[in-house]
Formats: sequence, structure tokens, C-alpha cells
Amino acid sequence: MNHETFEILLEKRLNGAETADEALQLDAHLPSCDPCRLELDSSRNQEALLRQECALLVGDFDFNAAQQAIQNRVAREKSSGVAPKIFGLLVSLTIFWPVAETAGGLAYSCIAFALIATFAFWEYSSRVRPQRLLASAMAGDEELIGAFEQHGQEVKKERRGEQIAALLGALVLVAMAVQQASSGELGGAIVGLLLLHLVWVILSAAFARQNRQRNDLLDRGVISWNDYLLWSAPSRAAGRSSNLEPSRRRLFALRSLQFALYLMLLYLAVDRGGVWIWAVAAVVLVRITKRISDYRRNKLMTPGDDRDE
Amino acid sequence: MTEMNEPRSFDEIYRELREQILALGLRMTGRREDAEDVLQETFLLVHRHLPSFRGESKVSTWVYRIATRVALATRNRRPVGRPAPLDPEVVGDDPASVPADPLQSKEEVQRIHLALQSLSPVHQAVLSLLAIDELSPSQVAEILGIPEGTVWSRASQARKLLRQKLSGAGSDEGAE
Repeated sequence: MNHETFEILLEKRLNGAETADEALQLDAHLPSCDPCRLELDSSRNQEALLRQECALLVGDFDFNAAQQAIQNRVAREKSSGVAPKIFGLLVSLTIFWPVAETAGGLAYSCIAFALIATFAFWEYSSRVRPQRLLASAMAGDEELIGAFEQHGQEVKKERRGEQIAALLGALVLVAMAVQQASSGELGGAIVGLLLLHLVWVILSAAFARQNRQRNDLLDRGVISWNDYLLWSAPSRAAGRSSNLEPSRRRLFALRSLQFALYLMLLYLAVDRGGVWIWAVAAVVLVRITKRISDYRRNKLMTPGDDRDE
Repeated sequence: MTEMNEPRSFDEIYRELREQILALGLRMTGRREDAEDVLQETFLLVHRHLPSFRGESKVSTWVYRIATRVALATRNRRPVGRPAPLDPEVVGDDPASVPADPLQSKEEVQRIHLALQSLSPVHQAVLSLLAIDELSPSQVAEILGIPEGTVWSRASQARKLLRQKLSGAGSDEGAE
């Protein structure tokens, strides 16, 4: 047994993790090895100092204030604010309104919607820094660097797939719009709107899937690359280390579109009546049910955290 | 912390682990404001993802794992330079805040803090989790994503390097 093995046995003894065999081996070795004895003694002193350092580090830190700050950040993330709704209203007036009036407007609206959706979802394609960032933080440990790189590559592939799906959806939409525009039918506009909502649902599902993957990575202890990809930009711009602030541009775009779409459906319900009222009621019911289920699932702790978008 | 006593709600987790996570942050970043960020970001992630936590590992292991990576990322954002000494406000000037034992004087604590900070992130994390937070080797292995055998060899290397640093014979290992 070489000396390095005894050093590991010393480490195990310091942490009370040696087996009976290992204890015997070490006990037999110690009397004949001055460096090991010295190492054991100095490590014990070191351990006491390290724990003392820990106690001093924490000191009289105000943990309640920190918890309040965390809760505020959670509440901020959940709160959508008024601005996206106003923007959504403008979008609905300037982009979606023509849909109900002319078939040509449908093509215009669909293209605009596709462009905005692409803009909203494009953002998370371009940053692959995080895995490099963490990998370099662990510099010197090839195994970990390899693991981080692999995760980064996997997430990158998944993301590319989602982008392609979103773009294909947008292309289908545009093709439908052009076809309907040529027919000049108002029914085409309604079909177009249904398609818009379908694309929205597909994109939301893709986003939800991504969240599940992120949760899975987190559950396995790997801080999700998605988290870093989606939440890192604003904090870097602000020069603070907080890398978990939401990407406001993306959330803003998504919420605006969502709101604009609801307004348009509401307009159609009021204007056309009949089956549309039931359609809108069904959509709203589904959304409310989902909100309640989300709330129940996320109901963890704080009163006031139930503010939602 | 036994599995039976594992905290389950966010409040319980926060109360149980907040000191350790703050200390980990302070130790690994050396700055109070960075450590506060580590604390906040760690528990923000915990809050966000607790509902989907499947309990395949201990909650404490999961939280430490997040905190370690947040701390490493935070540390990495800081320009490479000399290890940061403890903030005076952390250690405090009050003589009562340090023990009477000369071995454990404020200077000694500062010295060991600086030595610890000058280690590589991996060595720092292993030593911190194993020796200070007294986690089990299997937990440390899980947190850092390395085999248990590697935990021991890393811990042994880290301790040796720390001793070298404290005796003034340290290499530039921390720059690796």
C-alpha cells in the first residue's frame, strides 16, 4: 500500500467514514509514520479552524430580509404587469383587427404573428455560453467539463428542434393565409384565427416540455442550461450577478401576443356571437382550470405569491 | 439530517439550510454581496422547482448541488485575481466575536479563509462540503457529480494544498 492510499485513509478517518479494515490498516501504519501522524493532528486543528470560519462567516446575517427578497423576486416573476397588456392591445388593434374585416388582412396578420412569434422564440437559440461558463468554473476537472458540455449539446439540439417546429408552424400558417386571402372569404379568417390559436397551443406545449426537461435536469442536480439561457441576459446587462431574472423581452412578447389573441377572440365572440361565445368560454375555462392547477402545484409557501399573470 | 427529518416545505428547507448555503457562498465567492446572491438564487431555484422535485436524492443534497453550481458560476463571473479577504463586516471588529483560543483568532480565521479561497473550485467545494458542512461522502459525490472514490482523493489533495498554503509554501494551484 503506497503512502497516497494512507492519505486517503486519513481523510476517511477525519470524516468518520473508514471501514473496520481500513481503521486497522491505518492504526498499524501510524506508529511507524511521522508524516501521517503529523498530518492527522494538523488536519484536526485545521478542521476546527474551518468550522470556526464557517460560524464567523454567517454571523448576524438577516435571513428574514433575504427570504423576503426571494419572495419579492418570485412575486415579480409571476406578475405580468400592465405594459404587456397595453402592448397586446395595440398589437391586436394594429395587426389582428384587419383579420375579421378582409381576407387580405388575414395574410398580413398571419405574417406579422409569425414574425413576432419567431422573434419571441428566437432568443433562446443564440446563447451557449452558460455551459462553458460553468465548465470553466470547474476548470481542472475533465469529467465535470465533459458532463457539462454534453448537457449543453443535448439542450442545444432540443432547442433547435423546437425552433424548426415553430418555423414550420408559421410557414403553414402563412400558406393558409395566402390561400384564404385569394378566396376572399371571411370564413378563411376564422379558420386562420383557429390556426393561430393552434400554433399558440403548440408553441406553449413546446415551452412546457422545455420546462419539464429543465425541471428534470434540476432534479438531477444539474442547474438547467435553460435557466441560464432564458434567464441570464438582463442580469448581465445590469451588471449584477443575478442570473435568474426572467428574460423580459421574451416574456413581454409572449404575454402581449397572448393578450392580443384573447382580445381578438373576444371581439369575434361579441361581433359574430353564437358558437364563438362558446368557443371563447371554453378557452377561458381551460385557462382558468390550468391556472388553478398551476397554483395548487406551486402553492409552496407565501401568502401573496398567488399573484399571477 | 436523516431522511425522515428531511424538510419538505420551502420554509422548512430555507430555515434548515440557509446558514450553510450562505457560508458556502461566502467561502466560495469571498464577498458578502456575492454570497447573498448565491443564497437568493439558490433558494429562488429551490422555490421554483420544488414542486417537480421527485425526491430521488435528499433535499439537502439537491439544495447543496444547486448552491455549489450557483456559487461556482458567481465566482466565475468575478475577474480572476487575488482571493478576496473576508469583509470586515463579516468578521467584525468586536473582540467578543472571536474565541479566546489563540489558535482560532480572527487572523487565523482570515488566513484559513484566504487559503481556502485560493484553492481550485473543485478542491474548495470538496473540502467545504465534506469537512465543514459534514456531508456524507456519497452526498458530496452526488453534489459534485464525481465518483465517491474521487471525493476522497480530491479531499486529500485539497487538505494537502491547504496545509501548504497555510505554511506559506503554496503553489499557484488556485489559478488552475
